[in-house]
Amino acid sequence: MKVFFFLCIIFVSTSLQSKAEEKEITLWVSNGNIAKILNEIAQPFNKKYKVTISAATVDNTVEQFKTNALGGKGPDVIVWAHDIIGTLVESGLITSVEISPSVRKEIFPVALDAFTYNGKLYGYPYNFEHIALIYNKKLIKIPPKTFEELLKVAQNFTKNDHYGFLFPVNDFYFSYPIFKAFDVYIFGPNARDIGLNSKRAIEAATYIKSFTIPPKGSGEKTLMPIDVDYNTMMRFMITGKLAMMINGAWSLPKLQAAKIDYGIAPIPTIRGKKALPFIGSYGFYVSRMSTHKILIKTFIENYIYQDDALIRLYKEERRAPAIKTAYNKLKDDPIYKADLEGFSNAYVEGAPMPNVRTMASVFGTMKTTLSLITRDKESVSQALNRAVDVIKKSSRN
Amino acid sequence: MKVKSKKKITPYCYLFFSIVSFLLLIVYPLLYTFYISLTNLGTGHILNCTEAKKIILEEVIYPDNAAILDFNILEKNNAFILYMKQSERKAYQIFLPRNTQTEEILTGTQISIDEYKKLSSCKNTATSEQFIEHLTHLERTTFQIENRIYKLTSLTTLSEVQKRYKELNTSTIIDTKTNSTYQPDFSTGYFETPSGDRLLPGFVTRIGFQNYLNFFKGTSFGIPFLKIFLWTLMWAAGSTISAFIFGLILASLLSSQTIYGKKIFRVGFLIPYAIPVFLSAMVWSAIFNFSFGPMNKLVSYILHIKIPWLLDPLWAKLACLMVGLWVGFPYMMLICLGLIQSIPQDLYDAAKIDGAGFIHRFTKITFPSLYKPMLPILIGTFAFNFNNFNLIYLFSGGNPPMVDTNTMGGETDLLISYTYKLAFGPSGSNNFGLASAIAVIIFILIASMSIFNFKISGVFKEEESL
Amino acid sequence: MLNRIKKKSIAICSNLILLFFLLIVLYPVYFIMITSFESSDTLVIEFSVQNFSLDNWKYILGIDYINTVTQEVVRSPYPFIIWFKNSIKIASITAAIVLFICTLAAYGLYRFTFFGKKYFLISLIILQMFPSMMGMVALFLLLSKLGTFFPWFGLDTHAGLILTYLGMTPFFIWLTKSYFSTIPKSIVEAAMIDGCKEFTIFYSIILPLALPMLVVIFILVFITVFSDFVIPSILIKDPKLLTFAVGMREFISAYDIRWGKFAAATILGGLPIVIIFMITQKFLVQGLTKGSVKE
Repeated sequence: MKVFFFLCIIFVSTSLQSKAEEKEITLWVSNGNIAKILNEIAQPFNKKYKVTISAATVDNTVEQFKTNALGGKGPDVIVWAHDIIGTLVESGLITSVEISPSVRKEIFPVALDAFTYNGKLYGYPYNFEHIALIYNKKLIKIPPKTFEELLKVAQNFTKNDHYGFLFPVNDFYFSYPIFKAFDVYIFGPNARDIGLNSKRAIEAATYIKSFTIPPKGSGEKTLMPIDVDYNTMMRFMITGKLAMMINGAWSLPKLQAAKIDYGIAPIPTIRGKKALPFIGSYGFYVSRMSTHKILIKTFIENYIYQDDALIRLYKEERRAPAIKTAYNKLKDDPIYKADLEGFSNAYVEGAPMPNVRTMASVFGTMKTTLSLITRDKESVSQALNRAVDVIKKSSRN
Repeated sequence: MKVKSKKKITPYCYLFFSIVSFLLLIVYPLLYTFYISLTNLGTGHILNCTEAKKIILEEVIYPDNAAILDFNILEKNNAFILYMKQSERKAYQIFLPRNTQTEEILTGTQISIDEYKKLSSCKNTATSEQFIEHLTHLERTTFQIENRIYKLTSLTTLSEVQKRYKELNTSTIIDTKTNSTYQPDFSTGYFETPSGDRLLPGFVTRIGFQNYLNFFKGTSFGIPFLKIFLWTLMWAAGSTISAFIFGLILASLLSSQTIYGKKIFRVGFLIPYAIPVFLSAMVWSAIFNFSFGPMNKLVSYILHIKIPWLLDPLWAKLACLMVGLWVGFPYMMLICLGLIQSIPQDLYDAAKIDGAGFIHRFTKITFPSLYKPMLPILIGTFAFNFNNFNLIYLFSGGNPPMVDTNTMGGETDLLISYTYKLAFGPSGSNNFGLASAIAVIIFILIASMSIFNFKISGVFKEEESL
Repeated sequence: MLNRIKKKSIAICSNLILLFFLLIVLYPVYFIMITSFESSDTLVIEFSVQNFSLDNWKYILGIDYINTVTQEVVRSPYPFIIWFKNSIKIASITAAIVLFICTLAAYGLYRFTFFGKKYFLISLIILQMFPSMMGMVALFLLLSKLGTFFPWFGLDTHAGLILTYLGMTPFFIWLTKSYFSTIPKSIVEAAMIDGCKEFTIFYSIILPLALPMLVVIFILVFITVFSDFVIPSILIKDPKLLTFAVGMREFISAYDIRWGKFAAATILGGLPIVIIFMITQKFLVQGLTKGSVKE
């Protein structure tokens, strides 16, 4: 009995917690360090307007957002990549936003593009990123400009537990540039037109297949192990046993920690055509249920879109700021100059990842499809045809 | 008389808390999930009809040459005055009572430029805190000046807007731009025109058994479902039984006299269970990595080949069973350790005197005594492993993928991970209603199997006699 | 003499076999351990540490340290120690309450027959087979409604979380009842002859005899609750109230699993369970029915 009462007391005391203040604007971020920085940026705003902006770290942010919406609850703002727009808009969960013209012209068009859906802007972008060729300067002095050159160089390096070139071939996000260089489109002008099983797509997929399974009689070595994935690539790069990889800026801190002298270059061209990667952009989405839309707009335009705030966020995430002035400041900074320059060309010529709802299906389906192709479990044309069938089916929902 | 009535109530007293928690936490979610399975809840259908309509009606467009007015605020007599200048000749003021209702339309009146100048020289400019207090109301208020509608677009500006959609009557919406009329369609969950054009967002609606029908008709059913069902059965039975046998043997070894360091062994063997599954699954995934995993390093050292653990259907299934055993046996061992305590030591002593060896004592004393109490636990563990999403999804992800079907099912997928992929996976329909329907189907399957198991093992008959 | 040698050799053999199994079983655990000491945040699958460092541990324990590359002070933004305490608190309270409910219910089922007993038993175990993942929306809504009436039990509270976990009781009720059934009826009959009230029989006789199984249930519930991350991640948002398992998920993102810190967090998380088990072992292994009733 005593134990029971004791338990009851603990029980009760844990439940007595003070409720949050009324004027609270909640932001959900999935990265705790970013949440910390946002809270610090919000301090002067909180003081001035007597509100509390608090950023919370929430894992699996978008799913949580959706579940909470079912119960009529949720944050005012979530921070996430632009590709989720389609889902959020179609569920009626976010509201369209306006950016004051004076601020808007300072933002890179590609970032604004990424957050535009059905002609309207649905989020406040604050950075963008894409993948590029990252190479070990100790092993490669001058990065190859064409893919043909790259493969030749890679052949020389691939021996004795060392690799010349690795990247997650089965991940469509990484192999898309190769498809792009072969002029493959994902979504055609007509909604039912998916270009992933066209003749050119088959060529592109066959080209990718040759990395893990060299064509018979070519005398080439296998460049990549059949189950190559992101972790394998990073492990070899960090231990200095990999000459070149395709990756994004988020991996740079790990390379630095492992004391790898790395260089960044654009993804080499294939048969003269540029292999442009997807541009990804992160931004702030405003929940439809939020009652503080104007305060949020004020906060973002006057506090987040400031150079020092964006530079702080850059140092943490390594994603280039979407505001031109902040970007240029970083480019002038000797520490970050080389990194940013290595990535720069795609910002001008690249296009954002499509933000329609079907895109998620494209990624998932292509992952399975490419893994079957690169392991030679299915013929290229059959696998791609099946993939397009599945994608079309899922887009009908 | 008193004793009798007490006897009737007493069992319910003891069972009270369990009945309450049972109803609240098991029966209610089950019924609610069944209810959801009769709707089309999912992406694009999260709000109800009224809310969806509200959002659609709230949508505003900016007309060409929309007027933008910058305003300032004054505080006067416990109310606010917004005043603004449109041009050198026109100025307006809007009177803002302290308790503005959201649905109100506030009308602005024109004032002369002199009055404007007088207001701007007034000393009681409202502080931003006071204004912000009302910001939430103001954001939804509509302002009307000279037949134009304005909305608050920043802390200092009003912009002219135009409502895109108007409500004709309680169920029709008309688009002012295109003049098409939309009505709510309760079978698809959208506001639609007769020709089928839809308005976003959609809403949740009850669709009866549509989800179930779609599932049975679709290509997700059929052969892949059957294959996955069979594997799920094999997996649940295999991992449960192997864990039970291994756990039981360990438990009896660790309860016998002849082992040294029993304590250390017991703690050591518990550790796989103490590590959260979502970590051990990922570590095991790395261990079974084809090219670089230590498992294949060992195998290639002995047999000079590398086994395609997670790449080949058969080997992947074997790997899953191995990991299932590793994760599951401590639990069984623990329960058996507890149950073995109920066997009187005298039985073992007598057996030893009679010269029975370890194996004999095990098969004739330990196993028969534990069999009856363990049955419900085994059946329960079978059900748990049947739905063990965590382990399979994190370890193999359902891979390797099935080649001969048009769905994204995998060779090691369980019914529940397949459901997850169908409903929430990247190529899935993001349809929670469908997922709930499949969950109900899975539940009916496994419940009937378990009832059957219980009947043939005679567990319930035992209970009656107590 | 020969018998003794035979016995000794069997004993040594069995010990060796057990040791062999133990090493195999702890093989992955070894990897997790050395990964936690590895500075490059990758999963170590070689047999020794490549770059030894205590940084991961410092990060988890909230101790500041200096990042050797950027020369900046690194402080974890996550209050791991708080989460650790939260998890222990929630897991222990849940286990205690589950034991409370279970023992009472199991006793009721063991001692009495009443209308609908058979169906109640059946439905207890069958209905629990419903995949709890799908019931999350229902539980979320339940807690949010409950929170508007009783703020103690709403979303984002520990009490609400514990309430959710009580859904695992039916299974343990079965387990406890099974164990009660192995207690010889003669003891209970003897007590009734002596004129004991029901509750006394429950409290003074059945409970102590069932102690090994109660310990098992406590440990099982503790482990299940402590390692669970699905439910707290949906129901709790306040960073001060999060649990350890959810916190560990911070280290896993699509491309960047920070193995070192993840491994250190795991080992820290495994400690309470191991300690509890070491303490409660002796309750587990007492043959308490010895000689209590002459058959």
